[in-house]
Amino acid sequence: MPTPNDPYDDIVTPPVPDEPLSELAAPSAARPSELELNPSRHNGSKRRHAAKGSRSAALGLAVVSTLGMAAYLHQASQSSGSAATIPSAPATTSTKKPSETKSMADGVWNGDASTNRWGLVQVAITVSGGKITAASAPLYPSDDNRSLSINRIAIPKLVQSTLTAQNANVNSVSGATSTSESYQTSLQSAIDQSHASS
Amino acid sequence: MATGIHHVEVVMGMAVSLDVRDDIESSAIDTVVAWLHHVDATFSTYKMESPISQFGLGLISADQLSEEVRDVLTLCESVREETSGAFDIACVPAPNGSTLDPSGLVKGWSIERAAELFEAHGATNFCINAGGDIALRGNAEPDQPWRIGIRHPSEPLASAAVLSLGDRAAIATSATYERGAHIIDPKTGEPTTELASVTIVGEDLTYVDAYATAVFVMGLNGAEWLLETHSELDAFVIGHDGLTWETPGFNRWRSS
Repeated sequence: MPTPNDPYDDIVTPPVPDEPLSELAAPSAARPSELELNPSRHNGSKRRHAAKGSRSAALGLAVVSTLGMAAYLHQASQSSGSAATIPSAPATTSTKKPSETKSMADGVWNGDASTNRWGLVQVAITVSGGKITAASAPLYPSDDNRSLSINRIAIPKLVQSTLTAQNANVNSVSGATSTSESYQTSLQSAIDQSHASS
Repeated sequence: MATGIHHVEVVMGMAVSLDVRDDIESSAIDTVVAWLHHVDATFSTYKMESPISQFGLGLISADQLSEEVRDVLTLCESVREETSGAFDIACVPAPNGSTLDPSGLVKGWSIERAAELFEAHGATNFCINAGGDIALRGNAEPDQPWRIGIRHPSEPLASAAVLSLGDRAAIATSATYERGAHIIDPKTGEPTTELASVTIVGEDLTYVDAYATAVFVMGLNGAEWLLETHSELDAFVIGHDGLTWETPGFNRWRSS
């Protein structure tokens, strides 16, 4: 149940999932391991402030990367009492057995606009080749600085792809390379050497 | 363009790359290098004679500390309070046997001071990389910002993202892909494992570096904390499954 100090539980009017969103929810059973990363969240537990020390509420990254969708679908499932579940991370759907796959139809799908205490919120996804290729929040409140901040968290940019490594021409590299051992095998070391020999 | 000076100094147990693109006197490099060795001598928890070791072991009192050491300890305490203990310099045993180790803040703080020293010598275009934490000014080439790669967690020679940063920027990455490296959660005393790496982009490496550590400890909750409390900063978080999460403003830094 909502707790007084929790902005996330104040999203009182979750959108009713329409057909495309139901499609989205369908593949979730294929990735139980991901969902287990975040058992408390699936129980509808409140999101706690990070600085309050919520180790037990550790969020699975795969789930959170779809947070914009997940939060609403999850809210919807709670209020409707349906068995709708959080969609799995799109990038990992290929691990499912084909027979279990209920593919998503290609296209741009808008969730229903929903009014929460900060205003109108709507999420949209783009499906291509049966996978989510983009997600956005076409509508979200922006009239109050703090609300904006909170809603930006509630609707983060969804990065659907797994990490794509690039070998780019860079001037410097940020990374945890604070030992001489790790430095010796780092790209930064190679950059430094290229300068030294030029 | 062959102007400028590029120097790598091994100090504070790591390689510090000084990449200055202006024509400056080499004494500027000497000044910065001397500063970094002074920081090492003052704050190293590997040197038993350093003031921080002496203080941590109770061999000298607080009023015997220099002003800069007291300033750093005060900064550490303010970050500890602000992060509700996720950043804590007094939580794990230091190499000297004490439990006081401000290294997590000293690196960023000292590099930011080094940048000021370069500026005082007239440099306006430079990049200082200390063990992967970077303070930069100006441009890499005229009208060409610095291109900064964020190390891919599982591929040491690849970048997970490439950013264009200029004018005045700081970027720090906290991760545990170094062999044997770990970051302890002060609350549990256990290594944190939720995230593969956390990168923070801002202006002042003193805080950017410390917050990267704090967010890494807090996990994704920390990324949300950062958004709520420091909207001026951006974060790029990588999970062990290769999925990434970023603040809404992060994308503007991406190099095209």
